[in-house]
Amino acid sequence: MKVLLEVRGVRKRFGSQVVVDSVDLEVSAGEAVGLIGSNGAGKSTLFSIIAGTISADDGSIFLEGRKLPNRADERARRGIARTFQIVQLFGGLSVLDHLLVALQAHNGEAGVFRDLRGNGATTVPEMTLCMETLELCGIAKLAHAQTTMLSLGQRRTVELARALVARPKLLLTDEPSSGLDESESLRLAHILNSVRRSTGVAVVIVEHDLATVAAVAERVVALDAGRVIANGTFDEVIANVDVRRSWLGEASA
Amino acid sequence: MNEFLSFAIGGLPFACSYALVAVGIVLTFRATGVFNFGFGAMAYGAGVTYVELCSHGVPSWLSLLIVTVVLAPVFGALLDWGLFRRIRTADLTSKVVTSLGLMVFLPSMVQIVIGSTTVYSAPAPFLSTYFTTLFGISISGPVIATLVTTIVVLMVMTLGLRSRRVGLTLRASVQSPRLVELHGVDSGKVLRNAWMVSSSLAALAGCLYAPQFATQNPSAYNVLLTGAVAAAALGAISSFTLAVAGGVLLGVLQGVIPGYLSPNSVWYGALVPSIPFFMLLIMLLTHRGFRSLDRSKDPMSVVEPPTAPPGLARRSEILGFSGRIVNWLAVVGLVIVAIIFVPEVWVGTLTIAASMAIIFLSVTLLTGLAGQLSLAQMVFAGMGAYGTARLSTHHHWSLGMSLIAGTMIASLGGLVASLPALRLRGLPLALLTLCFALLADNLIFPATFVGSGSSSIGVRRPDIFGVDFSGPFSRNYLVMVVAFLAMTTFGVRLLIHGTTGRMLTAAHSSEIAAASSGVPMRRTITIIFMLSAAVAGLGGGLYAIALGSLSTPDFNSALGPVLLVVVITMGAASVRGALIAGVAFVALPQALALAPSRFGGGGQSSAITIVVLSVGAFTYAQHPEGIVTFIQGRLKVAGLRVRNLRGDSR
Repeated sequence: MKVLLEVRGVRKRFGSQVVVDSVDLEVSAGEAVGLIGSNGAGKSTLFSIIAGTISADDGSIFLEGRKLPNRADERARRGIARTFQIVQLFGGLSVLDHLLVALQAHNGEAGVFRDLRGNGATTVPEMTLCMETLELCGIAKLAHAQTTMLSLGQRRTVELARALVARPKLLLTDEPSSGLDESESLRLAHILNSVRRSTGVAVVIVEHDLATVAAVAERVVALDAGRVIANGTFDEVIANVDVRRSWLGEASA
Repeated sequence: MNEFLSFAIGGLPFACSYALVAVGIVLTFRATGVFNFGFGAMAYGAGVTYVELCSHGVPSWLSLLIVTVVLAPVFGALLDWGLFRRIRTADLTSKVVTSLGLMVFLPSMVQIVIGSTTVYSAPAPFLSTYFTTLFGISISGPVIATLVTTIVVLMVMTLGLRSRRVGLTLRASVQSPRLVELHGVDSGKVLRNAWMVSSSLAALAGCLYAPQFATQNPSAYNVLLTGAVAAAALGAISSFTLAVAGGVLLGVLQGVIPGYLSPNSVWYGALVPSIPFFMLLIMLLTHRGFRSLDRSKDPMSVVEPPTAPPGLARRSEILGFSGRIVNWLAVVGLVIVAIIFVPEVWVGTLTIAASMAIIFLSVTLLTGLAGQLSLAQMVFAGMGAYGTARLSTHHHWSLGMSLIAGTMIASLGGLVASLPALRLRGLPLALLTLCFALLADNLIFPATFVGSGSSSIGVRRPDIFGVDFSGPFSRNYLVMVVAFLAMTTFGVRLLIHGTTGRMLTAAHSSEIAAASSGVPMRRTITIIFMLSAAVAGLGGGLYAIALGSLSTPDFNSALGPVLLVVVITMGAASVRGALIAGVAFVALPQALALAPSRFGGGGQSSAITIVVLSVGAFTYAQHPEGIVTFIQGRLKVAGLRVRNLRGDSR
C-alpha cells in the first residue's frame, strides 16, 4: 500500500531528558495505527511533533513523500487533522460554526479578502459538506447547538467532526477515550471506524484504553522511553515480552 | 567619575518612584492576576492630594503619612471590594480592561475633584533644606530621604513576604484563591491586603515624585507608569528584586544620559522616553515568562471556569431581519437629516465626530474582532494625520492623494506593530503598545520631518473635482467624511459577520485548536493589524483636515487607552459601539460646555465625558458586550414581555 506518513529519525529532548529518541514510523494511506506506551513513553510528544505543535530537534517528517512545513496551520492545510486529549472547542460558536472554521481555513477560502469582496456568507457546497460530516459522525441533530451545553462524549464527537470536515489524509486522535465510560468509548471507536470506511482517512490513535485500541487499530506501535519497542498487530504487540515488561508492569517471564 | 555619580544621583528620586510602583505592580499581579495600569493614575491622585495638603499648611511629613498610611490603603481596600474582588475568576483580558478603565477614569476624576486650578509643587516630605557633601559630591536632603524611605519600605515588605504567615498564604492565594479557601485560609483578606499595600506603595511613589515637577499633570505620571512597567518587566512581572533593580537602572539612566548630551541635540528629548520602550521590547521578546502569562494556573479553574472571552457577544443576533432593515433605514435617515438640517455651528463638530468614529472603528476591528489589546491606536491615527497634513501642505499633493498616502503610512506602522503581536497576545501586547505610544509621542511626532516641533502645522483644504471643501463649516466636507465612515462601517461589518469573524472568534477561544484546524493566525493577525491601522490613519487624516491645523497634543499617546476604554464601554463587538462612541466622545463635551456649571458645564466637560464614557470598563467582566448591545438586549426582553402580557390578556 502507498506510504502516507513517513517519520524519519525524529528526536526531541526537554532539558537533559531525551523524550523521543530516533523514532521511525510509517503509516500507509487509509491505515489505522495505535500508538501505545506507559506515561512518559513519548507518545504524546511524538504526536505533537507530527501535528506540528512541537518542533523536533532532529529528523524529518514526510507526507506523501513531501517534507512537511513547520507550522501546525500549514500542516493542517496539507491534510493533517487532529483532536486533543483535553477537548479544545471554540466557545461561543455553534457546532456548525466549528466545522465551517475548519473547512474554510483548510481550503484557504476564509479570510479578510473573501469577506471584503462581499462573499463572507457560507456557500451551499460548504454547508452540504458540513452537514454530511455531521451526519457521518451521528450528530446532525446538534448542528445549531452551543458546545457548552454538550456532554463530554458529544464534545469529543464535535472535535472529531471538525477534524474530518476538510477530508484530511491523516487523522491524529489523542486519547479519545479519556474521561469517557466504556460504552461511550466504544461508540466513539465505532464512529472512527465508520468514518474510516467511508472517507478512507488514515488514523493514528494515541490511547491508554486497550479496548479502544483493539477496536480501532489495525497495527500497533509500542513506545518506551522514547523508542519504538514493538510494531505489529494488536495481539503480537500485547504478547511482546518487552512490552509486557515495560508497560504492563510484569516481571520478565 | 564624580560627574557620572552626580548625574546618577540626580536620577535617584525617579529610580525610587519607578521601583516602588514596579513592586506594587508585581505584588498585585502576583496576588490577584490584575496588571494594574491604574497605579500611575493612583500615584497622580496621591501626589495631588499630598501637594494640596501641604499647601493648606499641613506639615509635609504628616501629609505624606496621611496619604500613604490612611487614604491609600482605604482606597486600595475600596478598589478590592468594589471592583477586583468581583472579577477574581475572570480571564486576563477582562482584568486588563478593568485596570485600563482605572487608568483612564482616575485622572479625569481627580481633575473634576480639584477643579480647574493648577496644582503646583510642594516641598519634599523630609529634610527639604538639608544638604551634604559625600566624597566630593553634593547630595541634597530630599534625595537621601527618598532613598532611605524607599529602602526601608522595600525591606519591610521583603521580610513580610518571606515570613510564613503572610508570605506563604499570599503565594498560595496567588496560585489558587479558591483552593486556599478549602484549606481554611481567608484568601479574600489576603488579596485585600495585597491591594492595600500596593496602593500604599503607589501613593508613596506619587508623593516622592510630586516634588520633582513644578506643576502636577497626569502625563508626567504616565511616564512614571511606563517606567514602572518596564522595571516590572525586567523580572517578567514576578520578581520583586528584579523589579527594584529595573526601577533603579531606569532612574539612573534617566539621570545620566541627558547629563552627557547637549540640550540642543536631537537625541536629548528622544532618548530618555525611549529607554522604557526598548527595555520592555527586549524583555517581552526574550523572556519566556511572558508567553505563559495568559495561561491560568489555578487548579480550580476547571471546577469553576473563567468567564468566557468577549468574542462570545459576537453572534448574539438581537434584531430580526425586519428589525434590522428598520434599524438601518433609521440610521440612514438620521444621517441625511443631520447633514442637511444641522445648524452651521454644529457642522464642524459633526465632521470631527464622524472622523473620530472612524478612528474608534479601528479599535472595533483590532480589539472587538481580533481580540488584540492595542493602546497605540492614536499613534496610527497620528501617522495618518501628519502624513496627510505634511504631504498636502508642504509637498502640495492633492487632498485625495495625501489622504491615501497618510492611510498607507499608518498601515505600514500597523505592519511594524504586528510583528511583536505574532508572538505576544493580551497583556504583553498591551504593555508594548503603551510604551510604543509614549515613544511615538516623544520621538516621531515632534521630529521636524514629521510635524514641526512644538508649533502647529496648517492643513490645506483644497477642492476635489471642483467641489469646494474649504472652510470649517463645509457641509460638503461633512458629506465626504460621512461617506468614508459609511464605507468603513460596511467593511468592518463584513469582516465581523463573515468568515474572518468566525475564524478569529475560534482562535480567541482556543488558538491551538484553530491552528490545528488550519487557521492561518499569523497572516490574519498581520492583515487585521494593517487594516486597523489604515482605518485609524484614514480617520486621523480626515480629522486633521477637519481641524485645519495640527499640533502635537491632538494625537497625544494618553488618548490611546481612552479610545480603547470608550469603545469597550460602548461595545467592541459591533460597529454600533464605535459609531455611538464617536458621536458621544465629541458631542458630549460640547453639550456639557453649554450646560450650566451646576450640571457639569464649563471647564470640566472633557474630564466628565471621559469619566462617563469609561465606566463600562468596570463592568466589562460581567458584560463584555458593552452598553449599547446590553440596552438593546434589555429592550428586546422588555418588548417580548409586553407582547406576552398582551397575549395572555387576549
